Amino acid sequence: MVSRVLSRRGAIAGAAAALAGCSTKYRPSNVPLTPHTPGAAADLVILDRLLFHERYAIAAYSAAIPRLSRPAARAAVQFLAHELAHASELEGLIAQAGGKPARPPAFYDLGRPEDERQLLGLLHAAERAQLRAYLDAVGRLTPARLRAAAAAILANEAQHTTVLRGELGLEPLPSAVVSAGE
Amino acid sequence: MTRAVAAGFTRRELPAAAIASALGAAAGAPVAVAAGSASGDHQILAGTLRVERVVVWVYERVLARGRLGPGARATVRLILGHEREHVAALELALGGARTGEAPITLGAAERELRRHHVGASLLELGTQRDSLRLLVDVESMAEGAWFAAIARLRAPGLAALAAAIMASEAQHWTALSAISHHGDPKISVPYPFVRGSGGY
Repeated sequence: MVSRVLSRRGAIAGAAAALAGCSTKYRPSNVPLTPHTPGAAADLVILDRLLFHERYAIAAYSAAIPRLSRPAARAAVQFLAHELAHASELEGLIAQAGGKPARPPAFYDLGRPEDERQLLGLLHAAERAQLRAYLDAVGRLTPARLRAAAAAILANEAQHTTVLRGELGLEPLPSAVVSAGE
Repeated sequence: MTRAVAAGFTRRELPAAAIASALGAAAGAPVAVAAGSASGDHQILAGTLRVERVVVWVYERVLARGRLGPGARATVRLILGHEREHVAALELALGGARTGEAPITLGAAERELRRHHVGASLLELGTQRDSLRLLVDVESMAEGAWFAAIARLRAPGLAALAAAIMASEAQHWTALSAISHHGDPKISVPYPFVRGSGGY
């Protein structure tokens, strides 16, 4: 049972984790993306938006994990590792397109979840925001292989959502196509 | 047909129409694709439709074998419903049901599965574990088909439809794997990037 609210300190710790996780050296992806790729400028804006959502999720998982019960924490630790990998991939793609990843904010407003259910709700909301962002991105990114790279992450976020929905007592597989409403 | 929403859908077609409509609206582009499209998108989606039909066929056979416990059976039935919706949505996007398609046979299904590195035999489903393992492999095959399609589709609206369906296949993979492994997240959600099995 979690009795304390997420403190500013906890949220900042999450932000710090996000920053640390995203500072790893990224490898060039196999997506043919350069500053001269048609649409690269518009794609940079989309990729930066996706990175914002990944960093928010990293902050949320980092802050929630110490306060979750063991089974939920085990899943959250696994998902945090995934989010860090996604952020690193996005940073690499942004660099390939000639951009520079935006600096993460010093603080993320994670609300004031007071118990485990509310913590899971925070994580669920972070995943839903990512589903929305990636679904939108796949329909707008320019190179088809960049869309596929985004879809590979989207599918993983959808898996996270399935597990979190189960933890929350919701139907894990609510519909035949993934939507931001899950 | 654009956006695949028009009067005259049967009740069975409505979910697929809703899928096509919602995704078309979200993507800001038509989800239907004309036969003979110069982009080749029609051909790409026709390939994923073939895979989805095999997926449905395998789910039906697994359910018919009767090796699943009540909990697993309920989940597999739910997923079969989703897979049927994928087929219906694809048929709508491709301009309607394709009555000329040859029916899937055991031999054809097994050939398709082997082509995509799914080694399990449809005749050797002695236990629930065997059955779920086959279905997880079939979901990997579907993920791979969709991933390859997204990397080649030219129309952004179609890529969005494909990504939403591919993500659904990934959720199925997780739900099935969780049944076999007591919900262990390290097994049911093992990797940060979902690309499915190769062969596409």
